[in-house]
Order: sequence, then C-alpha cells, then structure tokens
Amino acid sequence: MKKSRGEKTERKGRGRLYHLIAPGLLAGGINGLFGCGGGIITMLVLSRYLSGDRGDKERTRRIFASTVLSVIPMSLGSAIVYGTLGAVESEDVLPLILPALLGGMAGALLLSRINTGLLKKIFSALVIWSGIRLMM
Amino acid sequence: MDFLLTVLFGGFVGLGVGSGGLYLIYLTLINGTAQLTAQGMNLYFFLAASAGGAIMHLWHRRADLGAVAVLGVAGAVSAAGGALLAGCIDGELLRHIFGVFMVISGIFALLRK
Repeated sequence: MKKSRGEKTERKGRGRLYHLIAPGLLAGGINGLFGCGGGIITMLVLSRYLSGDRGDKERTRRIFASTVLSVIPMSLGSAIVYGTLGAVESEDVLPLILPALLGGMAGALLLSRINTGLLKKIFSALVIWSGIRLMM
Repeated sequence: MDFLLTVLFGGFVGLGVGSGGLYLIYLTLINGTAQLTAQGMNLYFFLAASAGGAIMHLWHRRADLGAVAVLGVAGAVSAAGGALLAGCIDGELLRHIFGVFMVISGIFALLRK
C-alpha cells in the first residue's frame, strides 16, 4: 500500500548512508572555506534523513545532537589546517577556550528550558545584516 | 569583557542559536580581526563551545552515530581542502564572499520553519 505524504518511515539498511557522503563533503568544504556554516547544511540533510513526525521533540533533539557531533570533525580538520597555515596563533586561541567551554556547557544545560524559536529569528536577521556589512 | 562575550557566544552554540557564525561576525565586524584569522579562531571557539554539549549528547545517546560517522569523515576531508583554499584567497575577497554566504544562510534560516 502506497504511503501517504505525511507518513514517512525511517529508511533502513546500508544504502541510506551513502546518501550522506556528498552532503558531508559539501558541508565540510564550506566549513573549511568560511570557518563556519557546515552546521546549516548538515542540519538540513539530517532533517530529511532522520524521518518522523515533524513535531517530534525527540527527533529534533536527535537532529541537533547529530549535527553538533558531525560538525566537530569538520571543524577539527579545518582548525588543524588553519593552524598549520599560520592563520591562527596559540595566543589567539588559548584565551577563548575556557569561556567558550563554560558558555557551551551552560547553553547545553539550558537547551530544554528555553524556547529558542524567537532567538533564532533575531539572530538570523542579525546574520543577514552582518553579511551585508561584510560585503561592503 | 571579551571573556564574558565569549561565554555568551558559547552559550548560543550550546543552545544551537546562530552557532559559531555569530562569534565570527563579532571578531570581524566588532573586534576588527582579519578574516582568515577570525575564521581560524572561530573554529577553535566552536570546538571548545560544543565539547560539553557533545559529551552530553553522547552520554544520553541522542545522536544517530552512523550518520555522524559518514558526515564527519567526509566533512573532515573536504574541510581540510576548504581551509587550504581559504588560505589561497585574498583576505578582502574572502570577507566579501563570506558576507554573501552569511546573507544567503541568514535568509534561509529566517524562512525555515
């Protein structure tokens, strides 16, 4: 029986993992070229890949968790090259490690307690404005 | 002040709001950091900011590890290539291209449900 548009089942088997190679290459390339941005593509891809009810909170958490964990090796690969190229020195990086770690942990703990929807819209607008400024 | 701002931006990473892009924008537009250096700093910033959350995600088994492995490995390989390419591009040009990318991704994020 043909499934309706609203019904999706999680694809099983090895075949589906191959679908992630090209998007992974694209996300990583962007991450390396711009020092960020890999997460946007990764989250898009995982939103389609991890099927289920759109309103499913558990699915949203799974997408977010998978995105973060996927982007870490991309960022690591990029960071090593940036360091090797001499684009960043240890005196640039060391002062930001502790505050970044503290902030990240606090944000992760607050994740389930804060409605981030409005925040995301505000920051998207900020990103657009910043992008325009950078183009000038 | 820098310490507190970095904590704040780290919090945004943990919340999944704007991720590392906001910190990069702060470094370039507010702090006046050169584009390539800012991009490099942003990567290390993201690694530190996401470390705690990553441990929690793994501990609670929230992620699809098969997908993570494929995306992560493919991404790490191309990320190195992208970084090498960034090192070959003029700083000002890279800044402008980055600006275009920010506008596109910001619009996309705004329109996304």
